[in-house]
Amino acid sequence: MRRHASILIAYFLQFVKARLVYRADFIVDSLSVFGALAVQLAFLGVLYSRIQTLAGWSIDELILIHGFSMIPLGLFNLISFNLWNFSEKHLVEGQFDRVLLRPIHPVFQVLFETFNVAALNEIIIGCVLLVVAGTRLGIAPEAGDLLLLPLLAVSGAAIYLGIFLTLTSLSFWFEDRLGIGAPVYNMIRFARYPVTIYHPAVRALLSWIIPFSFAAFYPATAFLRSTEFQLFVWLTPVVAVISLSVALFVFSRGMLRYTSTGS
Amino acid sequence: MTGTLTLYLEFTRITFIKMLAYRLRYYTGIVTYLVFVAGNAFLFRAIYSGLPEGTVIGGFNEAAVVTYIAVAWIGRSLTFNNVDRELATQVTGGNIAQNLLKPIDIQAMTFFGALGEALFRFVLFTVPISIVIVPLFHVGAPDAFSGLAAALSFFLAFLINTAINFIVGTFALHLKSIMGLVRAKHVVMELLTGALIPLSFFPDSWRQVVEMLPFASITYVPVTIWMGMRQGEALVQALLVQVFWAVALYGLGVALWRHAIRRTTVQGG
Amino acid sequence: MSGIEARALTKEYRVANRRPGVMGAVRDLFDRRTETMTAVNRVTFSVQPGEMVGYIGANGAGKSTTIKMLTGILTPTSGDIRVNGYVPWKERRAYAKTIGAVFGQRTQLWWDIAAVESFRLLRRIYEVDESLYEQQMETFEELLGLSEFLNQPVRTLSLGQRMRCDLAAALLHQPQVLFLDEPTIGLDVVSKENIRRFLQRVNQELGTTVILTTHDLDDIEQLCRRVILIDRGALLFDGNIAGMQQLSGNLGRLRVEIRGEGGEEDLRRATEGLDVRWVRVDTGRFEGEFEKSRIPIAEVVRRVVTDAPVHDLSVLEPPIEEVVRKIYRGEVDLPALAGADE
Repeated sequence: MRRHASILIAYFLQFVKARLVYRADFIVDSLSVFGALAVQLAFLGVLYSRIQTLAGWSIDELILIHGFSMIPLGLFNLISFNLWNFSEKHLVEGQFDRVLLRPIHPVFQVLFETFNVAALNEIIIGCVLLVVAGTRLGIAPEAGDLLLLPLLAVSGAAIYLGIFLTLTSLSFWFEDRLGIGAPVYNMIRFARYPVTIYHPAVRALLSWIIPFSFAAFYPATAFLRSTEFQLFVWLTPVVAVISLSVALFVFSRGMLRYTSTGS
Repeated sequence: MTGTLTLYLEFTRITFIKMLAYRLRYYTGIVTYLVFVAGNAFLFRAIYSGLPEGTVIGGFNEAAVVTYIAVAWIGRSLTFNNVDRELATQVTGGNIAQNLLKPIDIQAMTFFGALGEALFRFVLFTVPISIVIVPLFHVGAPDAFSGLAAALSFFLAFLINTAINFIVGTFALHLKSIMGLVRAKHVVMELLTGALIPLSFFPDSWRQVVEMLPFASITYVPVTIWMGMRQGEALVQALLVQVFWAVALYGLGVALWRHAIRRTTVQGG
Repeated sequence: MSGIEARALTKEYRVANRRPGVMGAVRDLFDRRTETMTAVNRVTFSVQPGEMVGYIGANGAGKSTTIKMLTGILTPTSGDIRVNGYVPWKERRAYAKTIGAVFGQRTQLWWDIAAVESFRLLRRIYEVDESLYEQQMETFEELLGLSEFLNQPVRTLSLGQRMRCDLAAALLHQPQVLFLDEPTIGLDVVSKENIRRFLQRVNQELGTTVILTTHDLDDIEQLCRRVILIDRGALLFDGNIAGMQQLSGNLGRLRVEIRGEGGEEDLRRATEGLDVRWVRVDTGRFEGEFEKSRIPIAEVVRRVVTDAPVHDLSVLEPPIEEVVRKIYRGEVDLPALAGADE
């Protein structure tokens, strides 16, 4: 009896421990989301403690842009976990074999085998910031926003996915274990500022080459009720379709070059 | 003794060669540094453009802050490394067990490896991006003494940054994936090291706290030395603080690593 | 149309040729040299539905590369493949539903979750309907005995248990063709025996076509009537096992049991002047090897029986390992190079 009880306790502890491993990861990942947000807001706070407007944009307007941009980014982070180690896990270690043996699109399998649940925090915080900043700016929500927000958020996520899937696919050609997602990911922040502050070359880069601005600044102006960039707001879904198509094309071409491991 | 040193220098050499294999990452790295300096420089130009001509914030006028940003990111191209992620890969991939069996000191191995990465970064990142950035953003040369002191300061910054990364890497023994942690470290450190904005821009009460943290020694201190903003006693004091942080964080890394290893071994595999 | 058709199948790899030393690595950063390596070279063969074929060769001969092209994982550099009427790498997704594959060194299951969860997931992926799933799981339970570990995470399973799970997973959707790459690697004798028996039943009762690569020639001897042998990427032999044994027909082997002590002396004396190598197998048991083309078996037998105290004598077929080894060494002419192109 005592023996069974102790085995039961051991099993229970094992179970709790296994859950805790996940819990610790979840807590750390969530903290990282909050940390990133705190840093961004602190940065804006420090800047605006010295100035009134940035090229004509107020702090609340910038917070609204930041808030909106977190929603598509959160959606993307939710499913992009496997892209970061794709080269290492799938190409170098040869796990892509398994993916190719199954009757489902490989991209689907790679994306949806793991979720980064902590990214949900990002989506929620983004919505909160959007509402808070909107209220402070005296912008009243409209019925159309309920349609526009999901459309632009999903489009934005698709733009991120298109960009990073394309970059990930380059690993089929270059044998880099590291991949190049991380340094490019760090450039997303620049899309959260009004594009008007940049030199035309930087603006073109963020709009037409790595179109991060279409997942952050441009669509966010729709909720600022600014008409200056209306054309770009409507181009957002178009850019999303194009960047996803490019990504799928590059990926499928890359797939043909997959060499697996060994002979 | 020389035998041991040669052994560890071998890690330096191997890392140097290993870094060269990441061709694609290398090209992107160059581009990202340029984009980062350009992006941040434009941000500050936009800030100053809204202010009266000749405004000075926290000791910086418009030209000075652009120089600060340029030097900060050039310096970062040298001091940065991925020790945390590599350590985590070793732990999750099980290679750490093999390394633990070898008669080598993991921490020394990591540091000498990082040195190889720093050498690589100096030759293939720092020098080429300087050639582009220095004329493009009109970065002036420092006086010889400040330049020399800054070189020492950047080296100490490298040691401090590596020690912090090592500490973050030890968390891999407790987590399934340290990706989130590494990301958090990146964003927090960018702000607190002064890579995004000179620490003197912070409101006074914040600034006093932030300048006391070890992160300030990674970017803010060496860059301000380079710009000749610290002279005489203030310069010596800043360097001594850096030495203190390098030693203290290295020691903390040793302690945390030992603790974590003991815990894992006791728990069994 | 089912069955496998491979014509002039070729796979070339580009291998980066790294320069040595630090300066070499720096130069590689800007200018990388590559070399082309041919892993599979114009291999042609066809397999009828319901056949069980052993695909063998030394390490690096190109076995796995061929299997990976047949399963659609790798794209051939040139040549044609058709399996079950599909071009594997082109029509990959539709094709994947008609095949199953097990790669011995790597599981196709999800590492962290219970095996049964993997099966449920695969049921959805392959769109196997509920009743067929139940029926299949019952069959696997009967033949492989999975239930004792079905609820454990895959990473905790022993190699033998994992292999049984992998086999079941590969057959869940009733594929027409089953590809196996080293299915018995690292297994103990009993597990190997179980796996072989299972494969035999799958092949005979379900009519599943099976292609298997292996290093263990017992697998081949017990399972396959037909063998395809490749070496350095090229097809060396395609035919039945008996044919392969005949190929090395030049090797004569005799097993002799001798009464009493000192038999070896007697045997050597008996075959003096003939080039026969005698080896002691056991007390009083010897094996002799010689070249049949130079020395007729009858001559050896006659001499041994007259001049040595022979208790028992038998003529042996050469063991398959020996045949394979000889073929690799190029000591055998291969007249029957079936499917040699052009």
